[in-house]
Amino acid sequence: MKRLGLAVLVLLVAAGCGQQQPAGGSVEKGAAPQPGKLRIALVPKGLAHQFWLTVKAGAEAAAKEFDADIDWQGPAKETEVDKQISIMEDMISSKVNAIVMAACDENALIGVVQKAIEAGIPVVTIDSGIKSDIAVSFVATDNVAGGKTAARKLARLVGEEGDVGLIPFVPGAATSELREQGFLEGLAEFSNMKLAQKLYSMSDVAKGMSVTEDMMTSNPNLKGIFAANEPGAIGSAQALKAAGKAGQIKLVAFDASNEEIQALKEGSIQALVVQNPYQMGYQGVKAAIDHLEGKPVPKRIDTGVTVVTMENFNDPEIQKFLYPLK
Amino acid sequence: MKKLIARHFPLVILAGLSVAVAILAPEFRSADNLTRVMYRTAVVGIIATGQTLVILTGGIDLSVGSVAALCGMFGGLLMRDAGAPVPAAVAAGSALGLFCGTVNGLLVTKGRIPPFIVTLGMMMVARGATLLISKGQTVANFPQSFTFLGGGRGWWIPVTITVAISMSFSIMLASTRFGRTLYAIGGNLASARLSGINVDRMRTAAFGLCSLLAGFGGVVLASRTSVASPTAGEGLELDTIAACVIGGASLMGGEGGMVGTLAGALIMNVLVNFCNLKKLDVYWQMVLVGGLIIVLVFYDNYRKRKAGLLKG
Repeated sequence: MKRLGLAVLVLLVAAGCGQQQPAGGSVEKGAAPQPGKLRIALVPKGLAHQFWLTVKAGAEAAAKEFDADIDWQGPAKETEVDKQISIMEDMISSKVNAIVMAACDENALIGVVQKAIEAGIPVVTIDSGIKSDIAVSFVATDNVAGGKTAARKLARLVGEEGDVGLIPFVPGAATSELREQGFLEGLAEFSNMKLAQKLYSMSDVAKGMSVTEDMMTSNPNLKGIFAANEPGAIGSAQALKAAGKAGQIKLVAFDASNEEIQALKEGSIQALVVQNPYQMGYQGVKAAIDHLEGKPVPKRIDTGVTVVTMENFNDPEIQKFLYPLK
Repeated sequence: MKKLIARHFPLVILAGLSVAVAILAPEFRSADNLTRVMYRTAVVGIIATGQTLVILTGGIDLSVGSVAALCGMFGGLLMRDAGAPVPAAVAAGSALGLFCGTVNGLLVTKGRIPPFIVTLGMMMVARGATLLISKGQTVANFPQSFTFLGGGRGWWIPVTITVAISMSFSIMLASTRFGRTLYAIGGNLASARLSGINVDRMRTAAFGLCSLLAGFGGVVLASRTSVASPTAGEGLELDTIAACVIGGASLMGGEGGMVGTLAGALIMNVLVNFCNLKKLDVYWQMVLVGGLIIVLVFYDNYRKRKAGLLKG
């Protein structure tokens, strides 16, 4: 009986582990790696959310163009730093040709990137880098510039005066802190504007709602909010809508998931600061391949941001930007 | 009187804390804020009610957060892709929860695997399944009428649902054979078995009901946020366990109750709300809330021992 229990447990745990990869694992499972074909590991910060799926689409486009195989594996959630380190170690053991990754933590991943480089595997960082210059290249939005863009847009929306709130995602995450830094720098350009409160959404829609509600309660004169990523933005938009404050309190948000676009159309979000995750995936893989082929690769590749509002929403350029998967 | 206070100590703490917060943060007193704190507690309250059933038997359920995400996602997909009517989606989400919980219960009782391990496995399986069926995407565009569960038509709906669930289980614990049996199993499993109780069936039922409530809570969560997120409910297992423990439950089993659990869930949300209103630094928030959980539980145990409600 005890043995049976153990067998069931092993199966259960195996099933649990197997289930971790599915969001993207199926595509490349079929084809066994051909000799001579480059194998490139792509390690995102999370498997969910449209952002990472768009990164993957860009990476696959580059892989197809340059005839490489993509091995897509990442932690289920951005906060699972240790899991991401283990995935990196597994990728090193399986001797991929190069690793393209977005770091869950800018410090914690330095060690394992070092290990990869010592094992002769070059690493390109995308979206979220590490605090070290050992990576071949860092392909990402300039998040400070993006945060600054958001602050300027929010300032224009609220008439360049008043209290505004900030909803970053996870304390310690590089992307979150850079956007915050940029936002504060941008805000400082307007002498009549002040940051009233900063509360983290922890990348959770329900928490994003709660903190927005609390922010409204403790700051009755709140004029605007900047939500620094998708779950926080969705939660914040829902809270504003529920409180009947949609459009009154201006909301500027990063990224452009379907739900954020929906909120923009409904008027609970006024402006989206949109990154280019497709280019991150594409340029990241391309940088890795270029490096492997001995071509020079710039240390920093900026993939840029675009501000989307209802005014420019229907421009063909913007539409292509918003729906790269179509 | 002394015993009464000691027995309902979590409620006393909740009242005291609310008064203190109301004095320190005047914004807390506004009707808007109070209702928000209440409906914010709905999801944790519903799921913690189920968690209490399992904890009473001396078990633990780590899978509730993932099961909630899975069931919310399942119900959401049924509505969006299969055009299922809202009540059917709510029922299907809850039924899927019941299924997960029954599997948990059977693995614990028939498979003889400790609850910690079984539900740890289920936590990963359910999270993976959520990512699988959603392809990693947030799912939205539900019928407008779906939002009523989470408070779209008024904050009192989720609050009433939560209180009704908590009260019915409270009555069930106090006045049915099943309820008293759960306490007996948690108090002493071996003697419960010797006294002719079908321990396996009762424990399986506790796990089944727990996940049923987790599934329903997951649907309410999706309704509240208007989206089913594949990463929803992360950390809910710890929030619900904390609610039970602050509410006077013992992780050894045999101690605890629904009123206390609901008070425990509210205490945590009042604390977080207070920190946000007073603009306390987020790092200090975590230290404060964590520290207070420990202090409250310590003091609760101390009081109970003094009042003769606890052995040892």
